[in-house]
Amino acid sequence: MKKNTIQLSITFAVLLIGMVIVLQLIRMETFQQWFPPNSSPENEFPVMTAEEPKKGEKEIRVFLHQNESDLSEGAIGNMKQALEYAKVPYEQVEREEIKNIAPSPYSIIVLAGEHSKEWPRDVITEFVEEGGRVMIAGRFVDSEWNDLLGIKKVEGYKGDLHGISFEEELFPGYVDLDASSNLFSHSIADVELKEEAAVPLTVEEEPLMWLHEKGEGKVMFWNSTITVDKTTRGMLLQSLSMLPPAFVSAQASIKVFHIDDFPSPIPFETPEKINQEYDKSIRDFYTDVWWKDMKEIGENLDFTYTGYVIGTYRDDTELKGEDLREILRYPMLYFGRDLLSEGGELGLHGYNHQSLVTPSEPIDETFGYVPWKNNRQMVEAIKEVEDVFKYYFPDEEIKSYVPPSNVINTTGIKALEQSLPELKTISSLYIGGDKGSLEQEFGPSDVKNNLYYFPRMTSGYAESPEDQFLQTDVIANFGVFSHFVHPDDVLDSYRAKGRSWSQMRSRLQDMGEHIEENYSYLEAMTQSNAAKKMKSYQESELTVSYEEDRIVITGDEILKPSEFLIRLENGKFLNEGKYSYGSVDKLSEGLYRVTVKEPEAEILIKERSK
Amino acid sequence: MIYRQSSLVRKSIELILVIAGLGMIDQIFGLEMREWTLNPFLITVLLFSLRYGLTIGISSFLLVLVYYLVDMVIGGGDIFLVFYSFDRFINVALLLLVAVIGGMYGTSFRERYESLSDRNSELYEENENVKEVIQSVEESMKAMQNRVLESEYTLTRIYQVGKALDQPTPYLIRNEAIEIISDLFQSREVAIYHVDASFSAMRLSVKRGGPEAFPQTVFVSGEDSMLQRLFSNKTVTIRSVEDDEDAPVLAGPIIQNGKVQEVLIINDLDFERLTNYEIQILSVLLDWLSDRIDKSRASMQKEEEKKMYPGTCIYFKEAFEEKVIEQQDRKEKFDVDYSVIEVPYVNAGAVSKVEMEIILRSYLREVDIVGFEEGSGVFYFLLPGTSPENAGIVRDRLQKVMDEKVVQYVQ
Repeated sequence: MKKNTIQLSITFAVLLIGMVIVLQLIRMETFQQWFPPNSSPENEFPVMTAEEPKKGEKEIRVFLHQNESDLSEGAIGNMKQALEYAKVPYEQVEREEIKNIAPSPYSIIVLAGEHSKEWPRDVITEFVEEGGRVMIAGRFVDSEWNDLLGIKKVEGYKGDLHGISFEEELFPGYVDLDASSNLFSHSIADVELKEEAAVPLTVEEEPLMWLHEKGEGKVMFWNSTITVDKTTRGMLLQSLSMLPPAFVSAQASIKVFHIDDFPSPIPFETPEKINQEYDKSIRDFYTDVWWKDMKEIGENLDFTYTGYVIGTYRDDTELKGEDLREILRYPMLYFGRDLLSEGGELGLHGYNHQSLVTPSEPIDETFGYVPWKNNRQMVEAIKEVEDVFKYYFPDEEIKSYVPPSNVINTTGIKALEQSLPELKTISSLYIGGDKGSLEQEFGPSDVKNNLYYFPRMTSGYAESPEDQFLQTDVIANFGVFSHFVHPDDVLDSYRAKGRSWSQMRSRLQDMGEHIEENYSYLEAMTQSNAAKKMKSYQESELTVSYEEDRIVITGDEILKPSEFLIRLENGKFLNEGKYSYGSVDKLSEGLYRVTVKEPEAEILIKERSK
Repeated sequence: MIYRQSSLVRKSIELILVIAGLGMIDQIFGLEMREWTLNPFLITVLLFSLRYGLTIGISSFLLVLVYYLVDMVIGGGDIFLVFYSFDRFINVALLLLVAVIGGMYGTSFRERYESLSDRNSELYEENENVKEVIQSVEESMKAMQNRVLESEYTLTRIYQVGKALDQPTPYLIRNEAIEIISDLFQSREVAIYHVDASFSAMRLSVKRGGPEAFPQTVFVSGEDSMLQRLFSNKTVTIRSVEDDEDAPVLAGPIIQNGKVQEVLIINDLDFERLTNYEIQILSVLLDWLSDRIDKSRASMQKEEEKKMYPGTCIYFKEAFEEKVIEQQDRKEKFDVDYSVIEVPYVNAGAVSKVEMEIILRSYLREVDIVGFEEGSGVFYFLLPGTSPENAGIVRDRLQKVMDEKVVQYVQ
């Protein structure tokens, strides 16, 4: 017994001393330097090039004719952008050139707007009757066109219609939006269609988009003004793909998940809501509940997080050096390092949460932000927060930036470029938001072309049908998913929409499951890797040759592997399975996803016996 | 029985193999056991610490901690967070706590077990000793009971002994005496010797024991010998360390007319039984035996005289044959040799039988019996204790005596 007591005393003494030493070491600044944090993964995206592009006897030729009106410019602009993203070749043609277009099932003329009188109707009718394809990407009323368009009767315009209904699946994942939805506000032509017109899309039981076969050709009519919205690009592309016998579009296959304001200083006061629901401090809630759940969601639903650091929530620049380091100590050491160890990336959200705009640059005043005096002040503040970032992550570089409230302007972008030489990407919004917000397209910045724009499409935990629609539309266009959330959304009853964290988490899981179930081929990655892949995708060149019984795809510097969508007209199909060039998977009736691992792929088309 | 493994090397190998095996399974199948509620590594630490105590318990914790860190490095994790992240640190702390508490309990349990085991061994030894003591006490008690309550020397027993010795002839008395003494003293080798008148030799009368147990004749030599002490002291005599090795263990005199006529010899005697009381009993028994022999002999003498030629101790032929039969019984019962020789006397009638007896007795032993058949003129000699091989010598000598002395005397 005596021996036992001595052993017990010695053991506990050693343990106590050991734990005190460990705790003291942890408190020491150097402790974290002894164990350097993991680095953000830097993916390589190999490319492949065929010996020579194979141009067969038939190629898709999309002829865009744009008139001078918002409707025409908006719709044709959207179509043009959608085709570029999907790597489908197109040509812009003037009115006089239309007559020169040889009718072919693979030749598609796209028109939009109320310019029917300006278009050569007879030429277009003859073009269709002889096998050509026409897409009217914006409604107009002109009874002279009724016969060509499959309209029995037209009675002017009808406005203030909302929502959208899919009578047949256009692309997996699109959801019906009812009349209460504000995503789309339609102005349509009040028409009665001929029996033979096929109507895949409707709005409030009115035909929204239909197909009419005339002679040997087909005409598609988008009976709405929503085609000017960016949110219809995917639908425009997928509906266009229904016109020719076969249609190939490319997918970038990228999935990015942003967490803005993470890591960031943790508020001192714990909101009553968190206290009541979890009986935890805000720090413990973030640590034990929110971040734990987010990691679990990320692991289960294949999300790679990119977090964006905020230095302080003060609206001045007084906090510097050690003080700034101290308030970021726990967020950086715990959340920052853990995010990196999960394979994520740390980007910058700002020195503080004040958007990088000067008083002369636009911003929504309701934000209550204090404008920056000038570029110099911005640079100094960014360098200050970069110093803190480098202190905690000496081997990491800030490659990605998300502007606070998605608002930034030329001065801010230049300040970023000056202060962060390693910065590669700025991610704001794909669909414009508040005043002053930076609405982006995927591609080089128009301010500093060494910076790349990689916008986010959706945000928040409570995914609405509109969010899901928007996500689906971008994926239908070129296969990119980019979503962002804030840790403090749960603390803000407005942003949380009155939901508890468990409800928000559940909705986020639903979104992840929807994406994973429908688009499992999207590759989860950090923002900087996503930008790298997207640039490579955009720089690649694609040649697609269409034959009766095959499609030949040849690429120049295309990603390895590359993903393509192939739509075939009724009566034709692809056999699913693995091939020497890759694999074929069916997404829906007539729509296939083809993975290509060779720079040249010959995909055989089968025809159902009639 | 607690599992005992004293080899530190074996314990260490066992520990390393188990943790390495678990680690391999974890890595190969990507099971992420660290995250399990029923974490196999935690259970391993618990089992090892309980089984082998604190040292191996702490060792198992350190090994598992090393595996955790290696697993984190392989999986791209951040080791710093093991110490900085409370939920991860608490997992490690829990592991350590389990190792320490389990180890302490294991060590304590082992010590307690060993203490109890030692105590048990001591108690077992004590128990064995107590058993032996109890057995001795029981034996003593039994002996005491035998002596006190069921003693061989109770009045009943003494009465039985007296009754047994109440035989009509010395020969039967001796036989009974041998049986009784053998039974009383738990001895398998008991004999009664007849002492010569010269006290120089003793002839075997009756014995109990194997063929080699007692010689037919014992010569009494040396002044300080045990038998000399017996003859002089006339008391029960026990062999001393100074006596010869072949001297009997105990000898007791059978006295008649103040002389030691016979000697009781006991060879394999249990000394524990030989107390003063026993010796006293034996002395009484010998006295009683002497008295009984003396009386029976006197009584027999009257009876025997009728079977003898008048004035002699020469038996009629028929009576002689009865003696032979008795001797035959003794041989069968006690394995005592005897011989019968016949010596024809051609001049029968020339010398009186009284004279013949006087002549022959000087060549015979006291125990020898003489018979005569008038019609055939043959002398018969019953020689107790004489083997048939040696009988020829006696016969030749007797024949010679009768041929020489009797004839010469007649002339």
